[in-house]
Amino acid sequence: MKGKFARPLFVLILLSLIAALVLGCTAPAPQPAQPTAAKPAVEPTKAPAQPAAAPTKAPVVNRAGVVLPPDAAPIEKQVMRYGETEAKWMTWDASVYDENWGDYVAWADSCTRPNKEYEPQPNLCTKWEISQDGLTWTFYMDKKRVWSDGKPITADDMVFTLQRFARPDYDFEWFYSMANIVNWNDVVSGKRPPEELGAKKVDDYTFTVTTDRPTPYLDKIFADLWVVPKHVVKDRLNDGSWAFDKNNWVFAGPYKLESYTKGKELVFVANEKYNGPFPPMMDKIIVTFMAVETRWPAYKNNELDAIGGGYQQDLPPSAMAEIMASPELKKQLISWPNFMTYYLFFDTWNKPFDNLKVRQAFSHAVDRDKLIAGPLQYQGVAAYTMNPPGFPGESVEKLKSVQNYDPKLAAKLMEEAGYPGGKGFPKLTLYLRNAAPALVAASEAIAGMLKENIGVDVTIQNLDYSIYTEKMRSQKKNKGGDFIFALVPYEFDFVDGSNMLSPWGGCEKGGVTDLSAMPGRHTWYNKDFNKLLCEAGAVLGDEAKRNAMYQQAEKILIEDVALVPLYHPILTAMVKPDIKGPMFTPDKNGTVTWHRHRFTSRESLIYRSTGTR
Amino acid sequence: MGRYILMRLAGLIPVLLILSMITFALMHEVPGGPWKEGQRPFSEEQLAALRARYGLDKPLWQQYLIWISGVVQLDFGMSFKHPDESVIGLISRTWPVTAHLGLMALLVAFGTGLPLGIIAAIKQNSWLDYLVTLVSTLGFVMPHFVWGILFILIFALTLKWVPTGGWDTPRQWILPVLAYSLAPMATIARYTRASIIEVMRADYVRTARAKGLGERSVMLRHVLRNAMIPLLTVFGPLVPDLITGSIFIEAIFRVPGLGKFWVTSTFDRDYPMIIGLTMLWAVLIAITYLITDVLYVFADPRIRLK
Amino acid sequence: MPTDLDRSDLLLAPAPVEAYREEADRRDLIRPPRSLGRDALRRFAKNKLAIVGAAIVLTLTFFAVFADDWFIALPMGRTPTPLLARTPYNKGFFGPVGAFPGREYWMGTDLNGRDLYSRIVYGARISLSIGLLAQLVALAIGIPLGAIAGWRGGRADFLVMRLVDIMSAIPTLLFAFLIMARLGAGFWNVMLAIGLTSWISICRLTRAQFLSLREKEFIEASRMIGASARRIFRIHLLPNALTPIIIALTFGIPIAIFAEASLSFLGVGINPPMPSWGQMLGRDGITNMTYYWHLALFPALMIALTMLGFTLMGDGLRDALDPKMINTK
Repeated sequence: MKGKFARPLFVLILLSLIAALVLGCTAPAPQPAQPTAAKPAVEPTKAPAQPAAAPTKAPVVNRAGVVLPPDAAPIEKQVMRYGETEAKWMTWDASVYDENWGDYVAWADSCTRPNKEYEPQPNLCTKWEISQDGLTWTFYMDKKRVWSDGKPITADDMVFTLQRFARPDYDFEWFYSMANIVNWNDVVSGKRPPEELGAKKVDDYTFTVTTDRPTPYLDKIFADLWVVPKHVVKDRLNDGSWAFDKNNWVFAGPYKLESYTKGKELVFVANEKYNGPFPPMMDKIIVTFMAVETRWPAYKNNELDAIGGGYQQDLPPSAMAEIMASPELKKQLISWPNFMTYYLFFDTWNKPFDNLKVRQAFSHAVDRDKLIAGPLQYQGVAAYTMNPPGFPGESVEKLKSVQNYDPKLAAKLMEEAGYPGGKGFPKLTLYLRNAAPALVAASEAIAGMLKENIGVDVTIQNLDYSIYTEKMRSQKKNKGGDFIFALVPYEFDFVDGSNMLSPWGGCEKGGVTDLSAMPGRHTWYNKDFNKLLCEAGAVLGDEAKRNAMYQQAEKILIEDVALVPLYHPILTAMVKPDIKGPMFTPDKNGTVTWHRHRFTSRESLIYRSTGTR
Repeated sequence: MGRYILMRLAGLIPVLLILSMITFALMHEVPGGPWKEGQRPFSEEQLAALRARYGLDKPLWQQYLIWISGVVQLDFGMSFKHPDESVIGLISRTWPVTAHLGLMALLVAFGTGLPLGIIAAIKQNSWLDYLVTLVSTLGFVMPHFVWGILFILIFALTLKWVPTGGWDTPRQWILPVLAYSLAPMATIARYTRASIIEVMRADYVRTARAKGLGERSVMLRHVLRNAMIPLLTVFGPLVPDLITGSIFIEAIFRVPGLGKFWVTSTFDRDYPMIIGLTMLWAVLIAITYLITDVLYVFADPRIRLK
Repeated sequence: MPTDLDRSDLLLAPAPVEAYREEADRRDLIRPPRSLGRDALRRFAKNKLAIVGAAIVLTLTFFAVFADDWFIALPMGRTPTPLLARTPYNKGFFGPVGAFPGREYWMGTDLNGRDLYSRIVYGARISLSIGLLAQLVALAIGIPLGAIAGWRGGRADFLVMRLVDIMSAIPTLLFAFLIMARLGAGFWNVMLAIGLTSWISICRLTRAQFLSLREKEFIEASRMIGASARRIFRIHLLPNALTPIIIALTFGIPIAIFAEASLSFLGVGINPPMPSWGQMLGRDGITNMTYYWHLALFPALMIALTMLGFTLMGDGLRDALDPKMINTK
């Protein structure tokens, strides 16, 4: 075991010696001779046939009977090849944080679906209405939708799915708890039977959901209500192992799993029973399990059709620099902003960060623009707020100046706080959560700025994910500890003003005064903030009013320097140029995205053409 | 001899017991568990439910007893990371692939390392010798992963002779085997050279030469034979090391083998897998040494096992 | 041929590299080493590769020591100023970001705009001292345990060897995780983690050494003429056991540097912004090598050079200290 770990690891580190040399010499130069898939029309077999023989050419039809556009390549080429990490479970609920390819290709299907503007659209649920008091939602389902085994998808499945999500032993329960469904927590903890959950079947294709308090964004949460087949799963408490049995492979989405070779690959094919609004275009999807670092070379070698756009850093800064230097590669790049914020946070309940002046000094000492120009180049845009640009309730412009870069002011604030030039200030450790190399480099830059601008000594510790979370939890639980200064991201779950602020607070439980029991994940507390968040969550039918309240709340958050926002990431993906389709139609902002699914099955909106896009 | 082997195997049992206890305590002492916490830390209730689900809510000694009573029946539990597979099943699924790769690499390493070492020894202090020494030192300095990446860059991305990875066709075996065999090849060449030079200085070789035996006969009958004996102990450990794989070779070439689990099991807190692999490694290494010791006796009649 | 060897201690073995080394050393010690005299020095000087190795090691050490005037600044209580390095290692954003090697920055700059050459120079200090200190920890544990086991034999030997068996199979990564969680990462803890897991080979080596020395005629003779156990230990055993241990140290330092590199790669290594070669390579180098190749090339080159230097020097030392060489040349 000893040798297993110690030697091979340094080995990895040494790899670059020669690799760097070779790549360094070859990579930045555009390679016109390289036969990429850029011009499949050049392939002699098809090119002559295409222009003249158009009438004789039969349209390309995939196995689900979907007729592809006239310029589609032959059916055997309608295959998408992805590189992913093998997940632990095969179902949405059990492995959201596990690089979830189940979500990725949508082998389940959801109640509602966001469009490109993130507005919920009909899908399995075709229509929904809210009662006068805002507490009861009625969902009407598409009566013709079926599972891949031919059985209808019914309200029973939906209610069962909700009951199933109300169990404690997986990592995404908290997400559905935000829907405030009646008796949710009691069902989760087993104090009440699942039948008492506020989700009821009315008839085979209608179900109702009742909530404790008005929850205007429930239909957005239900975009992630990925239905499970009740007739297959049966036991609501099954942890996800039901899906390992091939006999249980029953699908609701446009694709179905054909084979799963452990440690190697997943193969999905178009689901011929699918009759929903997003019929499959691509005929087949092959997901190969591979390490992050190997995807970029494999893409360049035409072994993958698309990389990036997901949780993992398929395209590190150097790959981006390489792409930017090559016009050929640049054409294949798709980039779009993500609703996500990386930020520094403090233990505001203990010294020295209980002093607002100290926190303010920190917020003015970090030059975000330099981070974006340096270690984080091509990775994002500078952030001064929790809510990213374009997010409901954002105040990006209004709050931009609150924490602007001002080293003189920072130094002055430190002096006022009693630490002139950083004298007497404790040595800090900045904790990172399993950070990618670019982020560690950025943290080094932050440490450099803090040293230079306010004289604070910072070292950096990049912790294993679990160890980090453990420290974070115990810091709040004990209201003290050594976890006083750290960096973490938060990514949106659904597009609503309540969402990105929720890590900082929410509705307080009546009678609870203990800070460690307050909502949110951080060691920061503000009564007014919580009140605003809680009240805004219950405002019905007036989005403008809600968002104004969220803006007020965020103002408190930013002015109290609960956090020092650093950057909002940009998602990047590379897609081979012969892939075409409605997926590449820009949204209302003119942005093309290659989002890891969410909106609709991506493969329902793309096909491989004989030309280029 | 049989008695000796039995004694050695029996002596392994207490070592494995203590080793398992220490590893058990160690892995539970490291924070975290076989679950992924997402954007928000779990609540205490959720943590409790998860601990119960994985049987981690019982006192440690109870967990250990449960584990050990399973081991007696050759049941090492289910993998936490691959919930549909038992530890034994997982190992027997992935190990053949890794062993296949490792054995091919061994073959290449010995096939080239031995001749190189012999040539260097015979031509001691010539430019040929220096070249072999330098190359084999480089083998230490730049181990298999360097070569792996380099090979991908040259043979896959530039020359386009082979794909960047995969394990379906013999064409895909070439790069990982080559990359994996270079470091052991260097080791073998180095130690073969050293051992032969030492033997060549021995009195009995001088005597053989004095007797008027031909150089060829001296080399084959006296030098090589005797030089190989100490090398047994050096080369023995290469076998378990190579046939259990490397995370980097497997990750970079997409080989669906056992190698990655030596590292990922710790990251995933896959307790049954961690301890199963530790036991496997301890047993493998013990058996390797037992075999080399026994071979030693056959090779060198002066040695007695006690 | 090691006929006097009880090989039951190999029930569980250390990692292969150490095993080879150990075996080689054991073979060396069959012939009682003579004094480290002028002969050895002469032989060492004649070995061209060994001289190259020593030159590399000396140069690296020189850079490590004179990276800045730390040794003057420390007693005076002021911040050291760079000597051989051009800027402090944590100084960022004074130059262009990600510049390729050129006239101004001859190793280029990293993505934080730091001079790579200066970081490499400071990296020599960090990496070499980690290597040296970790080896000292290993020696401090390994030698006494090995000496007791080898000299005393019997029950003590049995206990120590079982400890070695167990320790050599314990997953190192788990151990490193535990240190990270309980003590935190950082220079001293990394050094400790590496030292605590690498004493095994030294312990085995020392034990084998003492085991064989114990049976040697000159020890027997001392005993016969009535020398005390203590005297025998001091006059005969320690000096004779020293040679292979010095050699082990030479090989151990680069191995410890590698170990630090692996730990850095896993995020359990030295805390940034302190630079070590392993960390520079394992983090920034690896991810950025497809474009910013210099970030990978230079640290890799330095690690390779260190390994090469120590290995060549170690080989030379071994040959020079090998008494059999006297007869041949």
